[in-house]
Amino acid sequence: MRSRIMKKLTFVLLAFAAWLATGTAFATVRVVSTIPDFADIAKSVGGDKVDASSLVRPTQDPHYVDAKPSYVLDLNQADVLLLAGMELEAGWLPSLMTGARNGKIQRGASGYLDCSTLIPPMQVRAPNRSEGDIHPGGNPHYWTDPRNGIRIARGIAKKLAEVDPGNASAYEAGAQAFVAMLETRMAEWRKLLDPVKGRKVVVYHESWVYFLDWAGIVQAGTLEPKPGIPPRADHVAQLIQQTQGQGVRYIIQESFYPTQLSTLFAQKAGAELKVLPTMTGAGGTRHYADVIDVIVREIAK
Amino acid sequence: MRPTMLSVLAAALTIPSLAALAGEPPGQAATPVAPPDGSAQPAQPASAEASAKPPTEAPSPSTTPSASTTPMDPALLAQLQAAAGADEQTVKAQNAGALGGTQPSAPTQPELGKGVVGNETNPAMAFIVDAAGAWFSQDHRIHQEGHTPHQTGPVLQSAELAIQAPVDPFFRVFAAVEVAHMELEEAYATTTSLPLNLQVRAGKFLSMVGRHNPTHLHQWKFATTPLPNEFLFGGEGMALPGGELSVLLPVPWYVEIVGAVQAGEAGSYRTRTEGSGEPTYRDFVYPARLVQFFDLADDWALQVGLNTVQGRSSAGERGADRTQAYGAHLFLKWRPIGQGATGYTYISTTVEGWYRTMDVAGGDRWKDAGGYAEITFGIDKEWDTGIRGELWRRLDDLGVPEERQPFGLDATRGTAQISFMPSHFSRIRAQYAFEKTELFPDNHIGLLQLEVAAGAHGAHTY
Repeated sequence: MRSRIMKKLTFVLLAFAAWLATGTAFATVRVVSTIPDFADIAKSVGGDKVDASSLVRPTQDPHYVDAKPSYVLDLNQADVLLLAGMELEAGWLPSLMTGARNGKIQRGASGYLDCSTLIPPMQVRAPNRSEGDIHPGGNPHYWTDPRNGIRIARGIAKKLAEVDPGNASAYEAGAQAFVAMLETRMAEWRKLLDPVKGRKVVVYHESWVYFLDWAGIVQAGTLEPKPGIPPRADHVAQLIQQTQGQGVRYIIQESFYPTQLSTLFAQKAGAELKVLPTMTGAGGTRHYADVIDVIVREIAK
Repeated sequence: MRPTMLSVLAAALTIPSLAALAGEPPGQAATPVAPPDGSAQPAQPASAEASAKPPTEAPSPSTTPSASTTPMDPALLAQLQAAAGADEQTVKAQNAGALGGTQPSAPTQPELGKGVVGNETNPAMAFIVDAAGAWFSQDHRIHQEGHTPHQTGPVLQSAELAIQAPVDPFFRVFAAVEVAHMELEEAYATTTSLPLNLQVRAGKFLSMVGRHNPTHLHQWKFATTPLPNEFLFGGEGMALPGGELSVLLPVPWYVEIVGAVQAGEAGSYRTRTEGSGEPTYRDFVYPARLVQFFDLADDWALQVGLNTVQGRSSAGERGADRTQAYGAHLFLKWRPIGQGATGYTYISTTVEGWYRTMDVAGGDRWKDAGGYAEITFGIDKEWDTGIRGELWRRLDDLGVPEERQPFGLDATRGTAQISFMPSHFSRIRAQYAFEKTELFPDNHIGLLQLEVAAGAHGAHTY
């Protein structure tokens, strides 16, 4: 009887010790990213030295994510947090970070990396919401531009080296390999894009400005009258008029926006609707570069 | 024409030139790499233009990303370009040795390396105004307090200033000031880095019990407080000064245990006042909750909680002065987020129930039970609608003396609401309720509510 109690007590103490030990020693660096793309890049950079996962599903609008407590568990165990920043996750991430009770990933701590600090921002605007749900720090949809992919990979490698200095050279090598791979792909994509330089597209939400800038494609209009404000018939009618005769080839949007108005716009403006992935895992993509590959090939068609 | 939209569009097309400032990455054959001796670069009109102009201004909507538009004094332009080239060299020199800086096939990215974005050292502030118009069919009716409108006519339900910020990697601070009634609703610090998954809150805060009590008006799916919650915790909800300790258990699913010590008066609880001597440990309010969360699937989530609040009765006398409440809640949400789903369609259900005993003067003990159940349908980005049923019953046979009325009458109320949200920051809500309460005639209530939220985007809790 007594020995059973002792056994139980020992077990409880051991479990408690194991709990204490978690977080102090890790075989792999646990990376949690908000969007799947940074997690994929981190996997490429860190290889088997990191264990990377993401919170947002690739088919989900990253602006509006439920702050599920299960995400708190992921963040609680994280050594590094990667986020898109520029207020993309402002509606849900802060409460999760507080709930995570993890000092390593708080803003200002060593495991916190806001990837928007790695890239040159576009559309930095005066914070005036009468212009819609704008992000004063800049447009946060920057990762579909492969130039930014390179910057993000280097930044992640640097962060991983800070958190896990023992493997710094491996992370540097991982970043170099990733950059070399992306450069090769960029040369391929450039060949596809050069013949269609200056082609005009209309977008649903302004999620494409960085990509279009790199690709040399022109954004001729947006279906949303202002960022975050759902399109209305009168605005779309105006847009059809405005873009008349401009040769708009495609209307592009993510899968989480409704397609009825876009389809109608495409018909009336003589364009074609393309529902394209913007995050790794959407539309059958497996890796970061696949997403760009799909967008390039579809837009260059 | 729409000049605002055009200017946004124009900005979209011209700001790309900022990218040039940071230097084009390899693979962009179009941009030459500066020679290593630091001499002036070949012309880069786009970057010179961007540095000379505020980024929000845009000359014309038809500009393509690479084209420059306004002609400039060529001498000034050359000067600016030389300066930009020199700056870039300095940055590159500083970054030499950084990752990828040594290989000729991958020249150094001038890293922006901003540690701070925008106005980050200032707290995020939001100002939220809730204006309503109310109509009641009966003058003789139960009166609610707090944010709930209590007379026919226009009412300012709330004008709240919400402030929050990370203090450092160890603390966050949050405060909500109700400007309309000059009341500090909440002001507390939360730890973020304690070991063993512990967390402490200190200050004045809404007790973490049930689903409704921890929330503010702008988070509610209806424009009024459920009657049972008002009977239990008062019209303002239980928001008292105190300290709270919570722990996240190290198990594979989400289990959080929260316990607090708070002092003051809220609904059926009251800490002994100064006049009757220094309070002892028995005199404080002790809210506690055990909450579990199950991520059933990408589209399904379930939260269940057990709650209790122990404290001193606000209607008691010395020697017989306990109020004890025990409750349970459930929150179930279905929200598809797969391919083709907008994420704005959802159905969520909340059920919260309580049993309470309350000692009163004369040695009696009131026993009551009640709760609410609500279901909300998210229709699309702009519309949602919901229904709620509320119920409260006296379980003893002590009758309803006048002093009991604020703490519970046999009551049944059904509410329906529909909301239109023109953007993420504004909402118009129409609500109808039918109220059946003992001692009062049946009451019909109509409400029209307008809510606007300016400033920082607050983070939602689950």
